[in-house]
Amino acid sequence: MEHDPDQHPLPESPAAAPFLLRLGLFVGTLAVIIVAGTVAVDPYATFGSPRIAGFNSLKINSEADRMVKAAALRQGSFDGLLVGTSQAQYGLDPERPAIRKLAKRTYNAGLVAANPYQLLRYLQVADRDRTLRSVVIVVDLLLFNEKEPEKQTSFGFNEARLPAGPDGRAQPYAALADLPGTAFSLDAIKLAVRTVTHQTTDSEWLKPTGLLASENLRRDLWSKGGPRRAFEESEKRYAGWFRGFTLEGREKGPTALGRFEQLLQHCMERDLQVTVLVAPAHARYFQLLEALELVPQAEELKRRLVALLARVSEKAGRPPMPLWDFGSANETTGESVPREMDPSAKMRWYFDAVHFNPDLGDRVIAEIMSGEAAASEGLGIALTPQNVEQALRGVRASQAAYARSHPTDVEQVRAAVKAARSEKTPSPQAPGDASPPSKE
Amino acid sequence: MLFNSYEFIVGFLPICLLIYFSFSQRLGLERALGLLAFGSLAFYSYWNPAYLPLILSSVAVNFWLGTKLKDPNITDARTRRSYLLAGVVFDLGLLGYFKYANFAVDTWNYLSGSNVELARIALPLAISFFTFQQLGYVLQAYYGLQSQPTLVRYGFVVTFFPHLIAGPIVLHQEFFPQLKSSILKFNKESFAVGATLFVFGLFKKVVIADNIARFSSPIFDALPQGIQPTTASAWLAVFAYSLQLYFDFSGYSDMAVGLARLFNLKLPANFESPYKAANVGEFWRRWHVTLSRFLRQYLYVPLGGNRGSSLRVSFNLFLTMLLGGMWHGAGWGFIIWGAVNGVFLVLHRLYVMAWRKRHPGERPARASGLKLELGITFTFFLVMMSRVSFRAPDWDSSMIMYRSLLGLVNVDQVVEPSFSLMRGTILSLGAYLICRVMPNTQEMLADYDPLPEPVSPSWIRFRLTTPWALVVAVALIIALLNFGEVSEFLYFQF
Repeated sequence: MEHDPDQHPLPESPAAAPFLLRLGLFVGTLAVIIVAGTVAVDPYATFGSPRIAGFNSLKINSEADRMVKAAALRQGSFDGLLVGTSQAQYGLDPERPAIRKLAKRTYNAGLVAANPYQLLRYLQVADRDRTLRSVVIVVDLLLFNEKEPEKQTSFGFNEARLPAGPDGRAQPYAALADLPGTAFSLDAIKLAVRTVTHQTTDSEWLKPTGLLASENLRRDLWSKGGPRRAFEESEKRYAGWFRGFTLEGREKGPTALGRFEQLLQHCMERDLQVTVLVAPAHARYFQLLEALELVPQAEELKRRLVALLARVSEKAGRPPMPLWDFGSANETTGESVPREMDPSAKMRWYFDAVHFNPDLGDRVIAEIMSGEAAASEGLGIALTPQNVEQALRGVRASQAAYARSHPTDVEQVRAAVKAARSEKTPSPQAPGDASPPSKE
Repeated sequence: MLFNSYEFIVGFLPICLLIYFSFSQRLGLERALGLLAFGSLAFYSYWNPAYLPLILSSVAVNFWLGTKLKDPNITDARTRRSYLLAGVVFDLGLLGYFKYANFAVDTWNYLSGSNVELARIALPLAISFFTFQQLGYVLQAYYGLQSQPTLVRYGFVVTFFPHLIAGPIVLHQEFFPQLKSSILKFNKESFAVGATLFVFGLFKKVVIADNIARFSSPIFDALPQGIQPTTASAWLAVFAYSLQLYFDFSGYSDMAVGLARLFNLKLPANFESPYKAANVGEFWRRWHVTLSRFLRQYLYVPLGGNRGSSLRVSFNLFLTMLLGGMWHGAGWGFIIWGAVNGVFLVLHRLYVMAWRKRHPGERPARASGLKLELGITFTFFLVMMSRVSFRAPDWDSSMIMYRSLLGLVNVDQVVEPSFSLMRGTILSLGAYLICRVMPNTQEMLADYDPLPEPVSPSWIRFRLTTPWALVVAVALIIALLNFGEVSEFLYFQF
């Protein structure tokens, strides 16, 4: 028989088989240990692992709120939903009395630096089984920034992890979208270790209700320079984010207001009880807008929202839906900011110029529910097409009075704006160093 | 589908291996290669199936031209030359249209002030690599260096997924002889060696290159906005980029070599410890070896190579590097980079010629001791500095970078980086030390013939032992844990 040189076998060391076997065993063992550890700690609260007090019951805010909240909405069933930006995320606690009255099982789906499209998608997820009854929407001027095209993927937003696509088609593998990142990644290991070792000491905790607990955050923010420094830092940061702000939509593609209309229409179609409110930011936030010459745009946004709410509710055959405005200056929103950079100083309602704490959040909801906000003693006012101009004048007057009585505060805000303006484009950041606006 | 993605590592690759080795022996060599070519095209289509017809037509046309050039009935030199010319025009035309048309129009508009409009042409993935691969085949067929392969074998060699996207660019005569029935049987040693090469490459890319990039990319990416880095951060960015580029591309090449080895095939090495080169001539023999080899064989030598006057040889060298720079992309940055390296090579050659005049009959020996260290450091410095225009998005950005490097900055206008300079420097120096001290991957695996040609072993010798299994396992786990945001290989853009 002729020898076929092509059939001559390739060399094969006898050590190759044991090597491959051991390689497989080592890889498998290491992988199993890592996955078992991260799933047991469940730092992102995506696996539904048991919460053991002192071990993993509190979850550190991982800056992956879109992922964590998508998982919570996928796994849970809620009849109340709070949506908005970081103001809602820090300020509205579903366990407080007023919100508990609104709905029994409420979830805070506030997302840092959200846009209306993302709010709409999370609302659709929460309402996929039609369990929702009530929705509170917290709006802010920055939510409607048309400066850049709608960034649907901003801050880690990912359609794949939502149980239904934008067209309503089921996405049965949504729960797998964040694997293996949540079980087998360096970030997951780091966060798991931090979760176990920093159970009570970390800055921010994401509660099972979706609230970002800010007690420790306030402690950390105020530790260097007290509330005054925290205010100035937030004002500087927001002045930077407002750079180039515009309300005017692009020629092509959906506008932020258009997306917001879709969100409202969804609520109308599902017959949900809707509350829309302008967040009760501190009076210095209005002064910031004033210094940035954005007050006309803020007022224009309120006019457009009032008209939109009236139009949408009329179309649905419902009574006109007001826009609850908590933007005026009063004793609460004008809470005194300590003059000195004093780390021991405290504030009751705010931890910076934009974010309020859940005590104020609950007061606001309570007022809306009781209708007190419409009264002159209330924190805010219900804006309708009929009273909007008069109300806006009222807000302007109250803020002007605040400015007159708080010249130092106004000066500090202007200094922050000046400092932000003198800064060049934000410095280049390494990918791992980018901090979303939640970290105020 | 990137090699450094879960889709590839736990999806495509195991499925491809399983199907291939389950049927390969029953199918026989020809059909098994066809099956693997089919899998490779599926791999290619994963990015954008729209480009499938392009690569298939390119394969068909080049194969047909190769058939004509190998046809024993076609002996007329003119006819053969016209087939060769058709091949060169077709391949370079394809590359020219997809890669350079927009650049040419933009340049024309800029120079003439006209406003010629051309729709933006998307660059098909891997076009530079599969075009050069096939141009090489046509040229080899013309020069009669090989026997005529079947269409299946030819298509397989061009589309074989480990080297399809970013090389190594193989010579057909070094690949066709490997296509024997013996490769159809699963071989545990090949698999172990291939897996090890792949893991080492993955580690270089994901753990080293991607982490080093944190100290380079933010600085370079901010340049078009006019953001001037501090002198210290500019130096770090340039240093880190040279290391990133090496670990990224050599990591990719190791993965490609490893993947081919899983299928019992050997690809040539692309990198031979380039940062140990003591002069620029040596550097270019160690860096992107298969492209340098291609340019040498099919551009430098046909231009006249080392023949002719000193001026002519210098011109050949310069032009080869200039066109090599252009191959990387349609942009002045690449052209300048190619030209600068061309000048380096010409100067180095003139230096060698002068030395030979002074030492007739002698060959320059590799320096040692301090002289060697200085040579290596100086070569790295030149290479690093020339890469500013290669990496910077445009001319203005390059200028900003050079100003920062030279300290010609207005201290009130510079922007401090958001990362720690100290951390970046320590990590980059660590990576540089690895390049200088450690043997390269193929040297470590020399005992198992990782390449088509023999490799000298190094002081670190990989063996199929339990400790090495643990090392490979840990490297794989660390690499997988670093799969945060999957990043593309730098050379995919070319």
